[in-house]
Amino acid sequence: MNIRELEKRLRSREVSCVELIEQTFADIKKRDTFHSLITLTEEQALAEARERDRELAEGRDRGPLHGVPIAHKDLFYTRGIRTTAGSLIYKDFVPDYDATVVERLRSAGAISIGKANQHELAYGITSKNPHFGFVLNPRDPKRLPGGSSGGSATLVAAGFLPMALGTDTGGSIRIPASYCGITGIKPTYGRVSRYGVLPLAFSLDHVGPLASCVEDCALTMNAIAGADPRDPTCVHLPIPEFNLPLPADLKGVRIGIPKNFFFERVHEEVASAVHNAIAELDRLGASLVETQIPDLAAANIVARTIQYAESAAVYAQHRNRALFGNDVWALLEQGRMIAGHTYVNAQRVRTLFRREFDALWEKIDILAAPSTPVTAPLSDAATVQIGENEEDTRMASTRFARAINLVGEPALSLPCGRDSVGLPIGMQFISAPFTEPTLLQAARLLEAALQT
Amino acid sequence: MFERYTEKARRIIFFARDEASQTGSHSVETEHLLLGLLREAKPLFEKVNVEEMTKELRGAVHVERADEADAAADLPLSQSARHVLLSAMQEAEQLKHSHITPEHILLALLREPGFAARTLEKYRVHRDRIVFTLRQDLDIEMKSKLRDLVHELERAFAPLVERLTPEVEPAIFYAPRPEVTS
Repeated sequence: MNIRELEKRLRSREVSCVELIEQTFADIKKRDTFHSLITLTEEQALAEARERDRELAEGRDRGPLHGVPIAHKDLFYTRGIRTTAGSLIYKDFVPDYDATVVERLRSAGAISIGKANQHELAYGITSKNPHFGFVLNPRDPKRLPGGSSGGSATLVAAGFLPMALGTDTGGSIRIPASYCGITGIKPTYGRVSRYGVLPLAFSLDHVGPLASCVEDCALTMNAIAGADPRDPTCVHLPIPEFNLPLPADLKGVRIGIPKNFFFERVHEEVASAVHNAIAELDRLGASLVETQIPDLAAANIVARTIQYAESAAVYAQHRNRALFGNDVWALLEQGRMIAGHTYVNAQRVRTLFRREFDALWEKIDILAAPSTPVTAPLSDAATVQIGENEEDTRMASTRFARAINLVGEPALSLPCGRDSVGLPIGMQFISAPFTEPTLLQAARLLEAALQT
Repeated sequence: MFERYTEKARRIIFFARDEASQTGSHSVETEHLLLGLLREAKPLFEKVNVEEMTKELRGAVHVERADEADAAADLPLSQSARHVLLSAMQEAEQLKHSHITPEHILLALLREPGFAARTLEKYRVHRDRIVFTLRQDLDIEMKSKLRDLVHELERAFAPLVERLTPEVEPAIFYAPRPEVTS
């Protein structure tokens, strides 16, 4: 179920907004065994649906999201609705205003059905939330859905909603998208407002959609992107059309195939699915360019240093260990030990990586790579097997995603195949800052080619 | 069953067996485990008169036996002693400790109804105090492990700092160049 299909059903009056919302809640109550949601907001959703129906009857159409059911990860401020961030610290926190993106989606006509479960404080990739329930992967409940936007991903993967909003600080949109077999985009840093979004690491946090297809991502971007005086890091740029018409081919588009890093420690089934997709890009007429890319292993170290320190700063006044899960507490403790000069120098090394990426975009338009080195790991295993090597699940899951948060480039994950046990494989499209429209366009073309 | 027991914890069982055979018992009882604990892990019994407690326990479990030759044999664990060793494992699990130490055996003995538990109570050995100390020890251990992890990260980061020249500014309020548009 995607946004365009729902749009058609709603406009043809095959179903009303109210009926669609009722069906969605009935479906969730019946089938959501994945602990996808922390709070359901049925009354408010129905009230909004009645309003949207009235508008349609009066000929007022807010666009493709009008009447479409969505959800927000539980760290987006929602006025009058509890916002927990999956943490005991915020278990009774009720914001008195909406995040900018929540507001924008509502004015685009989308109807939120509730707040999605997530990794505690978004600080982790398992979404095994000790306070609000472990999120289970709908493709196989014994496996991790990924995270931290785990509940957002499962709501879409299970087919309850076409889109749910998430955040990505070190892969938290792309990892769950990869493990659950859906699409997600982390837009350029500064493209989408972070106002009213509970921070994890200020300079690495990004807001973006997890959705059933590339077009749903593009339609969501149309609603949420753009400058916001309330977020000083949000860039003043004209808002482009994110859902560009589909071109016939990819002629003239330079797709970089990384010579280093991305195909070094990766499960062979993942590598082969990504190579198949690359072959498809070739058939679509793209120019494939084998490219040496910046040292992303080093960039990951810089990103981790910054994240640990910034997150420790966010939770500096919360020192009651009993309120935190063991994994989150351990990461906060590590952050408190990072020296001031180390953090500042990490931000300076970041400048160097920024320059290296600028140089990279002189040679290519889009970098094609796997999203995660493995498919969804088993929930009860602390490690994953990659060839001969055993690797910590968190470290492996974030390895291909984290460095991109350091430079702020837009990065999209889309499904590109399945492994031998039928689990989805995700690949990433990464491009220059503020080039989401062409990134989405190329991804849509590949998505269509892979489906046929 | 004993793979996860530390050396000290294993020695408690060894001493308990010794106590049992010396007092002429047919099996290792919970009281013998406590006697073993008193011999092996004295520091756990801060402010307790260990000599008096040992004497009292030995007096209570002593049995006259005709056949002294049995004494050297490998005495079996009584049902409740076995139960104590199993619940020591559960105590460790609950506290998220990977190994079973004398403290866990002591916690388990406090829970097992019988003469050993009553004696511990009489000498004011309380569960809360033991758990508190255990938690503190664990915090110190965890902190040092995490410090190692941070050092590892900083070591990996160090060579990158070599690339910095004075004019490189931090990217704290970083936003990519706004002039780049699609």
